[in-house]
Amino acid sequence: MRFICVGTSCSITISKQLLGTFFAEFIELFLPEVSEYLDKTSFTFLDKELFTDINAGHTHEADLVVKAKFRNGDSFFIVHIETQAQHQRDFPIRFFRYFAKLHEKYSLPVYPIAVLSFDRPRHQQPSLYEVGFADLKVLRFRYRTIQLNQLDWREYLGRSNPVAAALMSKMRIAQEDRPRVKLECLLLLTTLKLDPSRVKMISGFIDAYLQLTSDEMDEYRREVSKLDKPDQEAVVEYETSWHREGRREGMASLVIRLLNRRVGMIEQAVVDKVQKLQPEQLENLSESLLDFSNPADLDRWFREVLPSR
Amino acid sequence: MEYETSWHREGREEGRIQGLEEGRQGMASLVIRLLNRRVGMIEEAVVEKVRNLQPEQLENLGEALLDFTNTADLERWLREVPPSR
Repeated sequence: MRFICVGTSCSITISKQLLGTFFAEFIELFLPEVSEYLDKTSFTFLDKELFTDINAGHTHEADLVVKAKFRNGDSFFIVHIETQAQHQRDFPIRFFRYFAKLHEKYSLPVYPIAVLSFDRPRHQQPSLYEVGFADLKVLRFRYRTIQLNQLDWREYLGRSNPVAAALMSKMRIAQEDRPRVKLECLLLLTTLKLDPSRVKMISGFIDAYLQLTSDEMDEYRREVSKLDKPDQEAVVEYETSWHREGRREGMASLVIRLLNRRVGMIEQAVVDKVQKLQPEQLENLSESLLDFSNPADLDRWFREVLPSR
Repeated sequence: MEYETSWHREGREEGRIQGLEEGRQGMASLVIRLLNRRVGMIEEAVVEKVRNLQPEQLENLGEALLDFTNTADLERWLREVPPSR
């Protein structure tokens, strides 16, 4: 497990999963103009767009690349979303390079969107990359910037949108409002009528993005106790599911460690499988592994427990 | 339901404070289970001690218990456990 927090400021990557699962809602919330001409019935998520960054000497995987269709007509365009959890000075030029590569590869117009989720710096970030000379402006690359720490959560309070519920928790929040914002996010979530797995996903983001100290937690609980019965029950249920998930993750990380010790380093694919197991399955696996002597024992266990996969 | 684990981990890995406590409890319950299995039912006092270990200590105990054969091994481990940081 890795827990990285420096002081009170934590860097959290806005989940690609969140943006992918609620892509149309994301566009609707932050870019209503685009929503006007975007055909919401036909997206293709383009997987694993890799950019080789020659200067940085590594490859970068695009956060989200979507092939979208214009509402009126048969033509397509690309939406490219990059998320930034940490401020990086060279972001505009890198973003331009990614843009150029996508544009070249697909020969389609590309709509570039940057989602900035860092707490600091607070001042407005550029949404422009320029190349020019005294006599000639060669290039003026502009992109949309959604800088969460510049947005006021109150303006999103009334929006019936799951992305608002999740991302309000990363917006500009006065210190004393933190418990209340967490609660408001959850209450907004209860009004959305999403299926249970999506509710769980959003509530998990809210929890992860807005971590309360124990004093704030007391304040939060006082607020919860003032709610109507049905809201109160819904909110308490979210909390229970975070606890359950936290415990489950602890168990999974221990089981992975024991497996590495018992049968030798296990592959990433197997690690991923173990991380998805339910608590009872993890208990079962942990007891079984006491008798394992090689990787084949583990494969057999998976075949028996998850026969359908 | 594929996204169920990774979403939470993503947020958690980089920003969890409370999550640490829940994860610790999950590890402790698993270690106690394995100890019972490995060296026979352990006493309540020992269970208490294990419940209060730090995550790193729980990981170490988890690995160590793979080689335990009796309660004496566990008692020795608990005597020698370095104080938590």
